[in-house]
Amino acid sequence: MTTQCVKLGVIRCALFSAAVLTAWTLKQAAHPPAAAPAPPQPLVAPLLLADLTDPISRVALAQALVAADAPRLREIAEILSDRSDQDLRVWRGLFQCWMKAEPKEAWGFALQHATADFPAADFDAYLGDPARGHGKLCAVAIEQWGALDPRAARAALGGPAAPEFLVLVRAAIPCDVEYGFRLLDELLTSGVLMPKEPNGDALQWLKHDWVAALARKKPELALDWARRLDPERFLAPLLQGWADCDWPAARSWLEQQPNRTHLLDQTAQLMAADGHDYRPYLFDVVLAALPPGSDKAQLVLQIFESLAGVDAGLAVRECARCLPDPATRAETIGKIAQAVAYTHPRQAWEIVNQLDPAMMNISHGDIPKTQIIDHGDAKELDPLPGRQQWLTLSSGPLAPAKLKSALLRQIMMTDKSQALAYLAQCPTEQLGVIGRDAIEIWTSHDPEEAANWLADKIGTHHNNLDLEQWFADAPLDARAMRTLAETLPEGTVRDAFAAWSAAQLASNNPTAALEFARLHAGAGDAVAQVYQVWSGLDPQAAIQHLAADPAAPPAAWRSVVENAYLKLPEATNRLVEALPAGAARDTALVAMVTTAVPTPQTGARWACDIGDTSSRHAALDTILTQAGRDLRLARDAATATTLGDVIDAADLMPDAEKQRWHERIEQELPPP
Amino acid sequence: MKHALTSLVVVSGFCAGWLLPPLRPQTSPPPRPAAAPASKLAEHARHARTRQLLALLLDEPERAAFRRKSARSLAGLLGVIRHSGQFSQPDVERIVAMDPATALEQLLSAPGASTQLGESIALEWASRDPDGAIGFLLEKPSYRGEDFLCQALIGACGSNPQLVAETIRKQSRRWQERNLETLFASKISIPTAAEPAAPSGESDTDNSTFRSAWFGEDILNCLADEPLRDKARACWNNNPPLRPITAKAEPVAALELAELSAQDYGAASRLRELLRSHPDETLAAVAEKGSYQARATLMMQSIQDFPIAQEAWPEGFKRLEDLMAKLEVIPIHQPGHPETGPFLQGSAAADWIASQPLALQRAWSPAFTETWAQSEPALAINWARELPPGAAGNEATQRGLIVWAHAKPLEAAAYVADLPPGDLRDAAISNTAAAWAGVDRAGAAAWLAQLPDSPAKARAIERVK
Repeated sequence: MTTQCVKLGVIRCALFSAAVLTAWTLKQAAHPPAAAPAPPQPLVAPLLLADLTDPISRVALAQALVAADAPRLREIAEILSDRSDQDLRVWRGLFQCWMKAEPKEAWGFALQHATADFPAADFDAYLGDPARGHGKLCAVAIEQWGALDPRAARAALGGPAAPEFLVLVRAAIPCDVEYGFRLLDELLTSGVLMPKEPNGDALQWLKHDWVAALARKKPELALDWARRLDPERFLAPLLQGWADCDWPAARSWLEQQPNRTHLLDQTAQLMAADGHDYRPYLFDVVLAALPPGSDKAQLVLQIFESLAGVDAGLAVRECARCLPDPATRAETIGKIAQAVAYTHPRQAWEIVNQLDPAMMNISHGDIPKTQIIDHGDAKELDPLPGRQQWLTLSSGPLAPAKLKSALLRQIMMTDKSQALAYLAQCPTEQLGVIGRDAIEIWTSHDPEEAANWLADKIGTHHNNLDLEQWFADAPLDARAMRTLAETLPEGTVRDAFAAWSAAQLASNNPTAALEFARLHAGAGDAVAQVYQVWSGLDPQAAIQHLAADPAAPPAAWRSVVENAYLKLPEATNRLVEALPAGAARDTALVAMVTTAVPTPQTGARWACDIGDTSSRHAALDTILTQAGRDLRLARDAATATTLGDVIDAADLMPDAEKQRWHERIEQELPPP
Repeated sequence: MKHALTSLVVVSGFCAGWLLPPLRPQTSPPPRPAAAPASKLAEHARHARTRQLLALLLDEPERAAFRRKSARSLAGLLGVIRHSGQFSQPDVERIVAMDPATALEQLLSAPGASTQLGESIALEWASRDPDGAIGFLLEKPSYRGEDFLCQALIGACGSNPQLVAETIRKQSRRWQERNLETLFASKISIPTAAEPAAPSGESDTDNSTFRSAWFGEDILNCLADEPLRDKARACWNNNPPLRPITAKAEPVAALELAELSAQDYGAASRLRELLRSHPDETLAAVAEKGSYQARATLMMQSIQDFPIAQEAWPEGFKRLEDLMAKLEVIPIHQPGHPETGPFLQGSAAADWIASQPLALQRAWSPAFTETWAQSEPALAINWARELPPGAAGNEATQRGLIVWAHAKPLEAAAYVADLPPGDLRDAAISNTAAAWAGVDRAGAAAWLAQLPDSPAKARAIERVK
């Protein structure tokens, strides 16, 4: 009995609970909770007024399209179809959204408005004959549909006979590469003629990435396609895609190819164009296979530059792994640092700082100086400003040292203490290249501080640093110059600073500047510079003072004569001719020959008076070269005769030399 | 009875269930914390979709301009500018309206940042808020900060010259000297209500509210000493007039053509202008009585018109011959800009050069061979080797070989191996090795190693070390 009562109680409890639950559920169903508010949809009406050629209106259209539901998209489409400023971009945007929301309705709309016309120059080429198809709008719709759901778009379009089929293929391949190529096969085997690009290629639109993508999934199929389409264009991307999924198989195939080197060159071009396409295993093969030369060197640099844009650290590691030659490696690391210098200057500094200091001035791209050998004596000619020189200079990388210099300059502008720490680490012999820009900024702000630091760093080291130019913008008045020159420790920097200061002082008080130069500068260059400045301002006073200054260095005569001859030719000529034989007179005569542009006989007479053989040779060469260029003189028989007479009368010239000059005259100024 | 009780239990249970509160409120639901992330995700997705659509609806320059215009934060705007490397005055104005101090702080601390952008911001900020901008920049001790301060002073000069004067007065003499040229060579805008006249005595009214003037009319007395003031005045004197003055054309007769020398750059420049404006008259006058320099100047100016297209070169050479006959000078460089050309090369051009005076052959042959060697190296070098003595054939040969060895070292080396012994071959070994080493050091070294020992080999080894 008790057991029965318990059972009954349990059953009643269960029934009670079920009843409670049922009632509550029914109540919920009878009063559903309020639906979540739909996102507000931008008003479409403003589109009626907007100018769709204005980018702002197109931004508003994009926002409206994203927020729109299917009915609203239809509303927008109706508005657009009535507009005269519709274009391909607008329809592409609309159908991209509409095909996602309601593809069948969108397609129906496109068919309904098939006669719509709008500018789409690039697109028309792929459409074939619009008269045979559904119209341009349908092509846009298919393009967007094919990119989302190529199978459904294919079903809607029918067979490859539809002119829009090519549009579908183009859209389908990036979405589903295997299916896309199947559609392409359908198109090619259908016998339908495809429209051709201006270059006559009907498949110019086919991207190499797509073949690479297919090769990653189905290498054998991709190989068939590459051979079928255009091996020249598609075998390299095939190799790339195949190598990604099965490098041993891809390599085995590569080794059997008769044009292996050409194929690897094309593969390298792909890696150079996009850093994401870099593959270490492929690069190793490329490096070993390509013949040496500037093309290969340039390609390797481009590959690393592109890779640096993706991952500078990886680029540096790969560079260290692949390039055993320290010079090539240094140049490449410089290029990598250059690639990140603008966005990450400190990282660039760290990268380039890893290099051996001996490699800092490497610049492989440079064409070397031309060497000429004459009777066993070699001499190097200055670079010719020709096209090749220009090409290598403009496309080649900066030497690492020059890059460091540019970086250090930037750092000096923003963080002087950091820049000074870097400068302190810089070897003295490289200061002229790496530190120069930064130090010039430093001297233009804090010349005393910079000069003392330099004096300490350089000491008496003579390293052709052209230090005088480093002070060119130092804001120092005469007193400050004198004070600094007196307080600097003796050495290269003090000499250079004093020489620069003397030249500055010369414009106000040249005689005091000469005294200053002789006292502090420790070299004849400073005195010559003072005379140069002085003769520019007052040539008469300068040349008179120089003529009475036996201690002046011969170099002073060059600038003084150059300046004085232009204003006082006769007086200068008299003073020069009165000079005793020696270096000063030779220098002065050379200056007259190059400055005065004399008649050939006058110039030759001056030249023949030059005692130093090499200077005399250079001066006579100048005179003869000039005469050859001036056809008025060259064609006048008297020129050759007069020049020959001057040579014959030259007291300082040995007979053998005279003979050589006669031959040269005959060669340069042949009888008419 | 049992069933009645059971029914009662069921009914009462149903009633209790009906009276229970619903799980979700039916009206005005309060915001739930979980809803926020979902809506953020939706927002994010909507933005992504919009960006995707904008890629279709706008081209790249339009997108960049829109990103700049639509950037809502300073970081966003600076990010876009840094990415594109370009900015416009409206961008600068927006940055100044947002937070110029933070922007300048960033530009002052990043070595790679655009100095030009920072200077523009400083100038714009100071023109709106002179005290704020100058006060901020006075606290920035870096060299770039000083450059920005200069621009701020220029920007503030029109609206608050007293502050600018006071700031400059407080700077050291050295600071004043260093920045004097930047400051006193700058044009500023002054509200038209302002009284003082421009130092040069010239001004022009740009619109109804501002006039242009040179910096410094109220500043001169703030400079530390007279020499600095003299320098400032010299800057003003060097400044161009605020209103451009059209110079009267000078007739060719006014030039002393017979006396024109290499150092007379101004006269040479005027001569070039005259050739452009009055070609026939100028050419006739210079041909009749011009010095060598005058005739050479016209020749070099005229050969710039040499045709680029190879088909037109014969006609170009014909015109050049006529010009040489008229002016009686040779062109001392061959025509052609390194970037745009013409890139003279080929057998026909080579034949023309070889038929010209020796001075022209010497002047042109190295560059000509260098260009030709890029396409037909063996032909170019063979031509250079056949040039007469004095025509720089040796130099031309070596330059051609360098170009060849740089591009295709193996081919160039094979050519050099066939050269007859002598100076030309010795130099060729050295130049080929040097050019080869530039693109493949190991290859060049290996090539040199297999050559028989000779002074030329030793010289080349030394050169490629």
